[in-house]
Amino acid sequence: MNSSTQTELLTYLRPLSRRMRQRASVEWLTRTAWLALLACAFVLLGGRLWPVENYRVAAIGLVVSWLVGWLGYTVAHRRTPFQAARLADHELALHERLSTALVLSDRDHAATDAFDPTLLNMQLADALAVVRAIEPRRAFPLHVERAAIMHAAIAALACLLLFVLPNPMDNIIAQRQQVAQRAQTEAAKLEKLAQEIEHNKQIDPDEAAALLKQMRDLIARLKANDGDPSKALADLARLQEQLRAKLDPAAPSAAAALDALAQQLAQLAGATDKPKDAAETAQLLEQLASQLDKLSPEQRNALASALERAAAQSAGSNAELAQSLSAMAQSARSDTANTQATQRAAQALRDAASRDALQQAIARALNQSEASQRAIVQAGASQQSGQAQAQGQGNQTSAQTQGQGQGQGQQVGSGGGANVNTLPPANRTGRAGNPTDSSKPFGVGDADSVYSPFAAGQGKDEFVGGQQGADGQTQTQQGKSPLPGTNSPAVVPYTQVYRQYAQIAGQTMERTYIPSGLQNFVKEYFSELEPTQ
Amino acid sequence: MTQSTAPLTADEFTRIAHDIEAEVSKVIVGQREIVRQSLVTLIAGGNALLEGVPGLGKTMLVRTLAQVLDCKFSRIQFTPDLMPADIVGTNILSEDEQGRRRFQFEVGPVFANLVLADEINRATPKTQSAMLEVMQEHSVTVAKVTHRMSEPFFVLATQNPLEMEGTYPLPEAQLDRFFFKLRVTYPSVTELVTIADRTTGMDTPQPEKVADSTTVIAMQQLARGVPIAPHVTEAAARLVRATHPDDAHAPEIVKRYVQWGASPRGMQALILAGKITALLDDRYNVALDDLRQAALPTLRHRLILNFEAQADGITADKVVEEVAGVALDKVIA
Repeated sequence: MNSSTQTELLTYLRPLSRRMRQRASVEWLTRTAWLALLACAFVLLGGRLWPVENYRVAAIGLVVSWLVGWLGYTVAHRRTPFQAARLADHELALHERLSTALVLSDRDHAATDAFDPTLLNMQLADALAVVRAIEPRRAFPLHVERAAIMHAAIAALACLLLFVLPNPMDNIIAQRQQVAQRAQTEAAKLEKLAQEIEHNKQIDPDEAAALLKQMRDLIARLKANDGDPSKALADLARLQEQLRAKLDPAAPSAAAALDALAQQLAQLAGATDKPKDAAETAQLLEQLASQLDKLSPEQRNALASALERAAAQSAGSNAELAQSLSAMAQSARSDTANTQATQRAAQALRDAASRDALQQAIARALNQSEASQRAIVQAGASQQSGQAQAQGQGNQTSAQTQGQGQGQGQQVGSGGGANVNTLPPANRTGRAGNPTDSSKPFGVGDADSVYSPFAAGQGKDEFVGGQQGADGQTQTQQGKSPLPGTNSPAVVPYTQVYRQYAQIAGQTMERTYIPSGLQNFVKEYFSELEPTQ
Repeated sequence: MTQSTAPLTADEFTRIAHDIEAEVSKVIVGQREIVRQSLVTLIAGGNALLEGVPGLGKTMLVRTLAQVLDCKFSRIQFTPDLMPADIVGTNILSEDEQGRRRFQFEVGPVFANLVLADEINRATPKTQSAMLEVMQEHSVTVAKVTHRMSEPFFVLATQNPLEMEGTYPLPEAQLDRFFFKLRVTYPSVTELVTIADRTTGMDTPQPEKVADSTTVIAMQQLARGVPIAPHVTEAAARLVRATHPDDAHAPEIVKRYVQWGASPRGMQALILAGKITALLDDRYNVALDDLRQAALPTLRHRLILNFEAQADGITADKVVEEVAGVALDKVIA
């Protein structure tokens, strides 16, 4: 009786258990649907408020996770016959009839001896009669809460709308990707330049290492940039500031003095070609000093004069060189060999060559970083409206024209100050800013030149004003600058492009999400740059 | 439960029990819960402590039960000068027809099937102890001779909760010997009207005899054979365990207000009461609802509350209700 009773009980309890699982599954689904869909809607909404990549995938993933959770719940939510019996007892107010019968019908259950056999059989029969009368569908109907369904429907509609309607943040995300890509490209360029500097034997290794460390630090930051243009520009600006601090303002004049000395020494030595670098100049100087006794008095005077001029020119930039050149000039005039002075001058020349190489490397790094800065700015602004682009193109012609005219007629040989070191001296036009006024930001000088990418074009010949000669004539060196973009006609006085740039910046801030702190920064930047009439 | 009687069927049990309730209800107006619980105590072979103000029909209830069951009824009015011998009886020196003198045991009023121990808390502890010993052992030992009570033996003690002056409250250890502690509530207006109609008219309703002591013993034997599932027994055990403040699953009210929880005897009473309730409800197994129903009369007198409970006005009933709700709902969940 007991075994067959248990079998029969189980036969009836299994459908009950399945039905309970179905009901639990449907209840879970209806109760949690609104929650999952609401979370999905929040993700989609967040993707419209903040530039989040793959937010749609995240939203879909959320819904899919919820469905997987539902399936998991349904699979895992199996009830044993005993659990089903207890739940049926509780929900159908059966007063533990089924669970008691299921337990006591167990053949191995020893506790049945404590009960009256007649009562036990009656209990089992009673439980069987009860369980036979239960219709699973009627006893355990599927509860669908109308409110939960309504909430889920509303959330689903919101999700659909947020999914389908165009999202303005997509442009920003694309812009960020472009910026990140450009940052990678510029990092590669900087790395290439760093490798060139690394292989330049003329530069002092310690100086080169310090410079390379700064560059590689920037490269790492650019590579790690996730598309934040302000961060990339800030990193670039930081490097530029460090590089400008390393730039020697007197380097151009020292270079010009060395160049003039080299030319004069070549003339005195009767050489056809000017020495290529300071090392050759030093060699030529040593050669002339060793042949001092063979020179005529006129030649010695000419050598002494050349050495004195060179000493005078390099006095401001290289005191040691100036002293040794002066000593050499005196010995030339007195026709007495001064070997120590000659050696000191030669060594000073070689040191100057090393410094010159370092300054060139710094200048190249600075130019590359500025080019990277412009490229990142362009990448950041490429998603702007066509109106801003058209305006930029419209201004390109005039900027180019002005750049050409000034580039040919108004160059000066020297400049100074941290602010004017942005471009090499040979490329500056107009009057330079006050070199001693460090409080003025870049471009505050009345006619500081800036690079206008809208006016970018073919480089032009440039004329570098040299040192006034002994006969009162000014030598002029013609050629193309080896530095990229430095002699471009796109280099124009910033007053000509200030309005245009300020306007573009203003429009960009209106159309793009930029933190208010950075907006103020940009506004202050342009207000400080505003030309003073 | 040593007597062997003809077994009853479950249907006969239920019918007889319902007949007893119906006959008692002819005399006792309302108080259905008290009548049912008194019957449960009787069938369980226990004793009940009735708490209520005078005049609510406590004596009438026991007397009527005795009439319905055709059992010997006795009433003992407890007073401070009542001695144990006044209850259990004593040896007296008697002389027979031949003039020989010998001691003869004169039984006390406790030798009855249904005993009403009225205002038990007015007697001294010594007398209370004698009474409680009889209740527990169902026997009396006088002069090294043990005299057994005739079965069924059912004591219904009463105490007045208001007049506490000159009383000797029952200690907790002795309270534990009562199967149920019942609270007799004041009747409603409708019940009062019915009482007036029945007792002040020409005819006073007389209950009929529906069972005898043998039947009651058979009912007691059958009730103990009711099946109970292990998880229901475990629920009863958890419920009793949860009345102890040191239990991990005890509710906050127990931890805060209970000094000591119910004894294992409480769990025995709980399960036995559940079995009888199941049979009275035409069922053949104990349900959690039976335990819930029996929890209050079974456990309320077995809890020792602390001073904080008294200060906060927390009663044992409130504690038991909350413990039963928490413990049994947890079993269902």
